[in-house]
Amino acid sequence: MSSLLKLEDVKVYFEVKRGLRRTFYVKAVDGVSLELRRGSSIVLVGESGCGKTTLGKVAVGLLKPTSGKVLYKGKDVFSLKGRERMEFRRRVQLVHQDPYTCLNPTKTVYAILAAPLKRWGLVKRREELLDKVASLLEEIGIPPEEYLFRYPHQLSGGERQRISLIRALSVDPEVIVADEAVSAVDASIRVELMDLMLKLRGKYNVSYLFITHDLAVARYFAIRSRGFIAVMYLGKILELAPEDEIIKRPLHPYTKALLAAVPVLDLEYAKTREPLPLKRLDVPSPINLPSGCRFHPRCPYAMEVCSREEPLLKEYSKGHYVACHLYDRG
Amino acid sequence: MELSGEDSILELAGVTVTYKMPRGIAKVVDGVDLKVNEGEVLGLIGESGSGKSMLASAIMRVVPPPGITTGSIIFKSELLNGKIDLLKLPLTKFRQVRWKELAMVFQGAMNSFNPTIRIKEHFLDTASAHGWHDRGEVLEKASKLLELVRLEPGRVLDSFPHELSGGMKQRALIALSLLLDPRLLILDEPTSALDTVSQRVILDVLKDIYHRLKLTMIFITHDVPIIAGLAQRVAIMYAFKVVEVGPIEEIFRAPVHPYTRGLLSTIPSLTTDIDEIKPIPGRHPDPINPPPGCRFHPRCPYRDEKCMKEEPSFIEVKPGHFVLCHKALEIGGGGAS
Amino acid sequence: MRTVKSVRGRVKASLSWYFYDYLYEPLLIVWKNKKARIGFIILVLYALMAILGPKFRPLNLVGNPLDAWKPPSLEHPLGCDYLGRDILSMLVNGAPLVLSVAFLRGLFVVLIGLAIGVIAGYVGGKLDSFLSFITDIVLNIPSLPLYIVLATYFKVTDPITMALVLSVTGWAGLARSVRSQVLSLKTAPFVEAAKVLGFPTRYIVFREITPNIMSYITINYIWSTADAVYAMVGLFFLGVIPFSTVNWGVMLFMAYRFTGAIYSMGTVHFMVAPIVAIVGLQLGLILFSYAMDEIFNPRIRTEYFRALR
Repeated sequence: MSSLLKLEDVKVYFEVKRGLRRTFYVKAVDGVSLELRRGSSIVLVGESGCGKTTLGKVAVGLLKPTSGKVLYKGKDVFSLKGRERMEFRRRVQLVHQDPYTCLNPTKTVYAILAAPLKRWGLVKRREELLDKVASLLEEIGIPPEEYLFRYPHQLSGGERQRISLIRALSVDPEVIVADEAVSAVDASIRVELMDLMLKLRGKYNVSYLFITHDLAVARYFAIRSRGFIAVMYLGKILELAPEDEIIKRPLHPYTKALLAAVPVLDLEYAKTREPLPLKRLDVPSPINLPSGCRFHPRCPYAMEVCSREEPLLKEYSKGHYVACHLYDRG
Repeated sequence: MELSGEDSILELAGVTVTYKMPRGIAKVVDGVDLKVNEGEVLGLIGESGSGKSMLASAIMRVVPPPGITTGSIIFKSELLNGKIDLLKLPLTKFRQVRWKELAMVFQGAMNSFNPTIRIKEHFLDTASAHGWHDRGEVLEKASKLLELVRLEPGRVLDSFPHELSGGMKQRALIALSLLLDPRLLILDEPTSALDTVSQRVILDVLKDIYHRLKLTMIFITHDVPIIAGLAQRVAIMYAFKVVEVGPIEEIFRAPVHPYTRGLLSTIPSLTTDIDEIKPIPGRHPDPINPPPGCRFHPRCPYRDEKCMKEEPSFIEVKPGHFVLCHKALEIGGGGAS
Repeated sequence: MRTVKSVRGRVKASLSWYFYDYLYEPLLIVWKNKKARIGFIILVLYALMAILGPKFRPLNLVGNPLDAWKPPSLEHPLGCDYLGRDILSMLVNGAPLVLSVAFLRGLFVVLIGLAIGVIAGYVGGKLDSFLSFITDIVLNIPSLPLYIVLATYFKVTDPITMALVLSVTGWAGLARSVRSQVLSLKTAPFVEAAKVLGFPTRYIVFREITPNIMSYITINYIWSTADAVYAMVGLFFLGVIPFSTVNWGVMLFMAYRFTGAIYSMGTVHFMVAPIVAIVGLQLGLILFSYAMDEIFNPRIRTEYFRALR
């Protein structure tokens, strides 16, 4: 399987001036390496503030990392020029979280979907444009007759999100970064939206970098797409495993805490729930990261070495990587 | 209609919220009958647009104009000695009750803190708006409440809202809503903008509050699993009406109304078998032109002729478990789903 | 009307869609809005007056001394001035200058303000600091004295020069607010989406951001135009601009300063006529502007067509 998008030790630091002499940095992403291959998908899970959105922006080329590389088919994205740069721009797309602001409120559905087709020259003649937009709408289950000339404020959240999705797919991308794409819609519509993304994945042959904070959603997407789940915390990946391996056999204490926090439909389980396995509830500020392992102040299993040395992401069992001293063998 | 024998703190009958639009008349809440028992946690579940938030606004009489609320909302008030219809109270009298006996934490409310004043000022302002001017007492109470929601009073009271994280603000808001010892607390999506751990913390905090203060709570959400450990009864809203209500164990284990069944199988839960998760086909209806007969019929796998023409009424499938469906007994009666 | 019955069966040249979107529907909205309808009619009347008036009522600067101060009559619907000249013809012949200067000035103010505001807001950085600095200075210059100074320096007899002179300070307010709106729109997700979809900067600025501030721009245009009428008439009235033709401001000057027409009932019609003309134009403009938000704000615009369908 060929490599589509590869992030090599990407770091994104934002300068925040606080003191008179020292400048402080928000270490939004602090050394992340990920590889997205053709035909596969990665689900990136983490709480708010862990850097996943920033990472998404880097992957799409909107933000230049402070250090590290982003490679598209082996080439450094931020040094691409001309035609190659255009190619990258087209083949790596983004679906936003907020359906209420991802569509221009002054444009009709038709205008919104026709514009990228025109820009990339995908449709040559005006008459064809109408047909093409209509067929795009039909693919996402929206009847063109009613919706073609509606404005975004006349659509529901789920409909807007679907339009955002097909807009990204209409330029025929190879990678779609979906940043919390299902988080802003009702829980009852999330599965519908994810199913649509997966169905179209086959048709358009696209790989997803699916970012979410919801483990239940992550599980669904990872299993259905036969992809991977990566758990992110304060700018680093702590654990990575295929499909729902992370849910069935969580290794990192943070993953275990996250799993304990997810609300579950099962009443018996909900009643007998133990308190969260966390020493402290509040997340440290990304300006002042803890020494050694960044999770150690909250970790119920922290050892002496955890406050000194930062653990590296290592393979524990087949395909299952974890960055934790508990699993260092020798 | 509900569990007889238990005393209800709130009884809604025929509550309807109407808006006149250029296109027609929209009933965004349409004839809701509901009883809330004293000392219970009722989960009000529904999608966005189903009318659940509007129902809460109706109870608090903050329906945005030009909406008109009709029906009756009978509240057992201690302040006014007895059961009174909140909708018929003159606004000045209602204001005495609102926030003192009946409090609400609105959706996205953590963004409605005044960014230019400290948290302690918020508490003091609320107290003095209700005639409580003793600063020392107010702050002491505020500190106790903040501890109850697992915040550090010393730190939080002197902070400005932007200095607190989303989860902290939400907890502070819950503390604020409890300042005047309300007996009924309505929470509209209190965890929606928060991530998993913060969400869990808030739910634990609410559990704590519930047990310690013996509050009655109405918890509104679209994310069903959240209330699993908290609510004793749930009411499901669809198309501006309540379609099913009953004890949570029954509804979660053996849901009867086809919408509820569809809903529970479409929520991606950690423990559900992946192959059993499937979406509900179709879209939710238009408040101006809802489908005739049973509102859910266009999307219902069990529909028949009668469903398309006649509106159903509540059928009690089990004591305390009511379902708004012609086929309730066929689908649900007998136990196994 | 706008519903697409059979998408595949439709054959509509895109040209007719632009016609519908940019001309027909906006006019319909203007017509439906009672205030704007009145304003629109008033403006059309003024336009007709300016275009056709001079042909039907040519200017007669000689006048008949025997007709001096004649009250309104059939032959002279607005009466005559101190020289026996027909007031109506003076009004009608002054209209083209007034209207053209006003609308041109509005245009210049909006173009300059928009350009500076958008560049400062979108490009940011040092260019923004520089442009904002200039904008702040211009904002604080008292306009009337400046107009007077410039008017004495430049020959302001032709509409374009006059409009330019009057635009020298007016663009600053618009630039300021356009800049702040662009700043906030810059970070909107749909702008980010446009970037990721590969649209170039000029597309984003003109086709994504600008439509969102259109209602503000058009309202500003209309008010700038109204302002221009005051400014121009005011300058003539104060007598600081040398004039060579008769127009409303000049009429006011003649009426008030030169002949004291205001002091007697028999002569006041000379003063009243231009005042009514000026106020009428302002009224027309302002009433018309009530429809602007409705045209450019999609939420309001679609409310109209729900009722129609």
